Amino acid sequence: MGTLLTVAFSCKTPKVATGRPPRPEVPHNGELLSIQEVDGSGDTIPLKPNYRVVDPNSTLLVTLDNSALAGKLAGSELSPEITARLSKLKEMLQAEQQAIQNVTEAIQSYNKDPKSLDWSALMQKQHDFVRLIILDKDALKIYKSLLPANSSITVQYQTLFKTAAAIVDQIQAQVTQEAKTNGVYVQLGAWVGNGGSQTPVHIPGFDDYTPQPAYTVERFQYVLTDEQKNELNSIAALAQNANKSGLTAALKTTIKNDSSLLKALDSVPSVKVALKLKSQLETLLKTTDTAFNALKATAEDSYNAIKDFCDFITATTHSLKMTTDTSAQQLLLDINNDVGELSSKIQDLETTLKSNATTIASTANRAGDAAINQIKVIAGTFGSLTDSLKSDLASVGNNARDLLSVLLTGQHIAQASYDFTEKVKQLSIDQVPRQAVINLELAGKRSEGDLVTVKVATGKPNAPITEQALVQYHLYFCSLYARTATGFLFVNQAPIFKTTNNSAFFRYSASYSILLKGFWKGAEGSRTHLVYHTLWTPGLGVNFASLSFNPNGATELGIGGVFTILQDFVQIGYGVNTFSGKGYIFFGFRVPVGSFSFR
Amino acid sequence: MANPLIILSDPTTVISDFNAILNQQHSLFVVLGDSNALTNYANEAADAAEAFRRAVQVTPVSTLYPRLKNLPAENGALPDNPAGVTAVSIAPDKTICDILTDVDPSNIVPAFVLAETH
Repeated sequence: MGTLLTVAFSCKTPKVATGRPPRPEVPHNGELLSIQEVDGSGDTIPLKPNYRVVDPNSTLLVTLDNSALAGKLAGSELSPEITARLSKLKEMLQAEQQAIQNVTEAIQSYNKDPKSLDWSALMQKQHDFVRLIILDKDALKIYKSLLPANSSITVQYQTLFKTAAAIVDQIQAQVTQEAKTNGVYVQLGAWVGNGGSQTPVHIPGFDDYTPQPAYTVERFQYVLTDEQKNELNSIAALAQNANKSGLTAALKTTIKNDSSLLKALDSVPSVKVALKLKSQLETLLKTTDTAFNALKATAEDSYNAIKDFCDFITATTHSLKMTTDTSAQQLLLDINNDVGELSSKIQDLETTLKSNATTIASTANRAGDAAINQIKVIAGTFGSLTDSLKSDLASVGNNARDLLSVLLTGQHIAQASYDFTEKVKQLSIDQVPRQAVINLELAGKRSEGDLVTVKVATGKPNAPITEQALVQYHLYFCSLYARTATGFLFVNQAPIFKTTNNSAFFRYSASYSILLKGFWKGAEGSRTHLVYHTLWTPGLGVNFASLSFNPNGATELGIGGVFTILQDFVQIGYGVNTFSGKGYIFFGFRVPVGSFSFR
Repeated sequence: MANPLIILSDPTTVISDFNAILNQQHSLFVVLGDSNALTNYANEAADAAEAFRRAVQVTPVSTLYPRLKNLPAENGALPDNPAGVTAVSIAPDKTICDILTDVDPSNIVPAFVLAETH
């Protein structure tokens, strides 16, 4: 400080400087938490506010800014006037660098052209800051005590900001003291998991959880997982069938044997209730009892709506089970359309039946005693049908929204609540350790795509706790890693795009690849771009394919280079048939067969 | 380099001289009177009068005071009686920003700062 003052005074060309040690980098999330990631290589990466991803095997160093915490508590512990003043002083401190620059430029401007009033315009920008200190009796006292004798104009303004910082410190100390007196406590916790379930993570000093056994998410995976082995078997069966009977027929067989859509259609709960109501309405429509005359039009409308719905389910199920000449692409489009139409029909039916149920209920009030019981039965079935329709619609809608959410953000909609258990310590504000260490390797079994959540909350006796900060990171590898992937390949052997002996243009093949990933973006890009992990995930590697070009049906091995993208759904490459020595190009997909489907 | 103290002491020209200084649109610290204490005060102000700042010492006060009373004031109006007022700071737009009633040198910088940021 002394050095800076000497330079500023003697040279009369003061530099733009605050005269105080640089403030720490703006912490994450409302200035309360700053988080650093120490990855497996020991590299430390400060996580900026726009970072969304961390490495699944990293350690997170969470620093709690006590002064920021005091600032957040000020609202509940101090008067609104002091809170407002604290807020203004913090704003002032944030503008310090610009203000000092204005003063420096104003002096330079005056020295250059004393007749111009540019200097005055620059100085006026400090109007509010100056008055915040000078017009406050206590602040002015501090200012005078901090102002060095014979200081330059620039130093005089720098001292205004020093004064502001000193007052902020005073207020925050006051908050801390008040909070301590009022029994305010701080809790910090972390969870790891997916949208459905969350496991608390032990943070030394902050909780009494037992650390989980060490678990490392495999960075370099070269061997197929059991699930992938099943996929490969299914793809191999599909490829064999496709080579024999054509792709459409093969897909049909797969859908028929193992389609989640068929299973869903078979188990739509509203269908059973709809059939029951349809039967009741049929009886009603056939009756000659005049008590029901007023209901017949409504009953007929309901009957037709239900019949249409049931017919659609039946027709869709039947169509999926039938073998047709539809192309593979059209078949997949049809399935997509069916799902959309199902959702729309459920919604329409619910609207119609709800309206008709109201009409039936009001008519029942006017009907004779003999008819009332029968109408009540029908009205009850109406109620249960609309309820089950609502449930079906919610299910269809939720699945669609969840799919979109996963694609866009990598996060399931169904968020678990992050509640502290009794094992999380309630720490007095002056006892909170400055740093929390979250070792993800001791956070139990994890998978790529899981979410780590860090939450800070405050509370006091007989009052609900208040969440002060919540940060979340998705767990994905942010540097080079290896994965295996299966694929259904369309293979065209050299001479490329020429057919011989009237043979099929493409042969179909099951394959698996060993892929290197995580090379596309650097440390920052891979932590800020979530879709890089949830959607694009490019991979480059070696592909092994079971080819069947040999007319005698013997399986041949092809080895080639492959590039994959979109979570390996799209695969493209060039390979060599190790038996014939001929080259081939290929492209492939992950298709909805076997144990997996579109995701 | 501090600017020299400007002394206005001719009763016949004090108002016109003062107006001329006002029109130059500086950040002014005007000491009212020429007692020893006030002269020391004016000299202290001159030491702080760098760049766009000017320190002015005026006598007789009774001649100038009505002119000062006509200027707008940011933080409270000047009292009718000039006896208790030792100095004022004036912004380039001729607004009185600070009214001082003692000769404490530690008030000089805050007064200048208020004036030049108005």
